Amino acid sequence: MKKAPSNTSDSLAQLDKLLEHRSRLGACVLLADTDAMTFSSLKQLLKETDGNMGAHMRKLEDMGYVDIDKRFENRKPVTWYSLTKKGRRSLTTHLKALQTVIQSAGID
Amino acid sequence: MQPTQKFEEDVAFVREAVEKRDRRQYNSIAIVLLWAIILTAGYIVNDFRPQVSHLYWPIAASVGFLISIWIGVRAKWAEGIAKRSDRTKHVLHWGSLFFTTYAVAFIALRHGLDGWVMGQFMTLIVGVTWYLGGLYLDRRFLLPGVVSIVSAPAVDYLAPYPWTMAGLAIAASLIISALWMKPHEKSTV
Repeated sequence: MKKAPSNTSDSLAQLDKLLEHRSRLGACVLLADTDAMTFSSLKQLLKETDGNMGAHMRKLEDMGYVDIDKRFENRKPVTWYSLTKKGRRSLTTHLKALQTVIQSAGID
Repeated sequence: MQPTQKFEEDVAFVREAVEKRDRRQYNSIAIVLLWAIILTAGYIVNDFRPQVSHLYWPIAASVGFLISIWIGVRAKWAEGIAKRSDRTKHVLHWGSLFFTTYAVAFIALRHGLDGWVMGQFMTLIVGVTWYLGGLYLDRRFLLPGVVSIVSAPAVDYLAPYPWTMAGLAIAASLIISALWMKPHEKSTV
């Protein structure tokens, strides 16, 4: 695991490239305090199109940040996502770094 | 755009998404209507067929509790959000009401407590559980909680059909709350 950032340049280095996109960051934050969420609820909350959301989630899945569970509910395919331990660790480090960067810039 | 400005906007965007999700509290009135019907029917039974009250309430309350869990779980799945901690909190809170009413019935029967007084205690327990549920889970239960708490002693003074009048008041408060009150802005649910 990465160590806690101490100043702005360290913090910038600690930022996770994958989580720099707001929709991927948003998806991980939304998943962080739930057990799982569906693709359509994530897409709706993050105001994304099917295609874009699918691409973002695929990237997170490829990096092992999210787990996928595909089910049939009322005969319709529903994809549920959950945050993995790796995803949670990366999100925590990224958010701490982000907080340091924003604080050092004097923004509340 | 400065990187910090982009970060700030991203954080605002994410915060908005989280707040939107938290506001998406279960908004259907199916459970409320179910209980409005069960309570009104039960209180009418108390007035017009008191001899079958002891059969009606355990059956109706048990069936109502199970149907409420089924409706609640289905609604959460349909929302696309699975949160075990919320489910546990709701089941424990409403489950405590279910088991407390059975405990009160057991004590009342064991000590030969009058059916009228038992009804008042039940109404009071339901009222307190709704009120606390309104404070901590969903504020739409605050008004029915207060009406129910007030109804418990008030049935001694209402006429000509005290239980029916109390039941209608409680059912009306449930429906009014469900239709006109919004859930917590930042719900714990």
